[in-house]
Amino acid sequence: VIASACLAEDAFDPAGELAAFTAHAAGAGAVVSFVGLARHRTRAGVEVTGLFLDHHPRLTQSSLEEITQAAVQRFGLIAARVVHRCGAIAPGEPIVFVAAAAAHRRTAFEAADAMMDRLKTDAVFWKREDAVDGSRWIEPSDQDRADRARWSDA
Amino acid sequence: MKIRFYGPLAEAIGREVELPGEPGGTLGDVRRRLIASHPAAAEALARPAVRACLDDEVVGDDAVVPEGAELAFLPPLSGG
Repeated sequence: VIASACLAEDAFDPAGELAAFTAHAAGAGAVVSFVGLARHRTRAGVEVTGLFLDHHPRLTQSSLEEITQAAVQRFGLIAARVVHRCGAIAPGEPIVFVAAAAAHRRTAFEAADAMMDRLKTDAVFWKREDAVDGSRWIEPSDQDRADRARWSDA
Repeated sequence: MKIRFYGPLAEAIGREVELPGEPGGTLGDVRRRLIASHPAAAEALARPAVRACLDDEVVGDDAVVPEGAELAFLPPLSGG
């Protein structure tokens, strides 16, 4: 499977993901991976007690698959993998893992970057940040939209 | 008909609401009825960024609701 996407309901192991991905990326000259972690502090510096990621029973999985497959096609990857958590997540836990395998490093870096930018705005999730001063639902920032727009000719 | 909600809308309204069906109605009609029946969530429901969804497809508010369709309203996404 060259493009694979997984919606994880429980904690996952990014190191194990990377090892398995690399082992199956036959012929690749470069593997780039990224791990996003749940932050310990809000943007305003307040202590976070946890995240909750709501998801859709079908659209969430299909959005992850579409983002992964689009990266394979656009960048001509040898393989791509996305793992994204849903549900309750503790500060410090991995939320998202992306990996791209390509013939050369530049392509792999760009593909991982592009997948993350798209995940921020196009993956079907709703993220609530629970902090000691209250809870708030997160929406994509102008920066997230600008990052996404870098790949809009995809 | 059943309407499902996600994220902040699910928190404000509940995961699912049952509305009596109205033949020939549009998603916009459904949105207006929900705003009337859930005043506490009216502002959130009225946002254009909250997209109507018919059988897992995002559609405009002018889409007609077929019998037995699954409806949902999706707030702006936030992954990653």
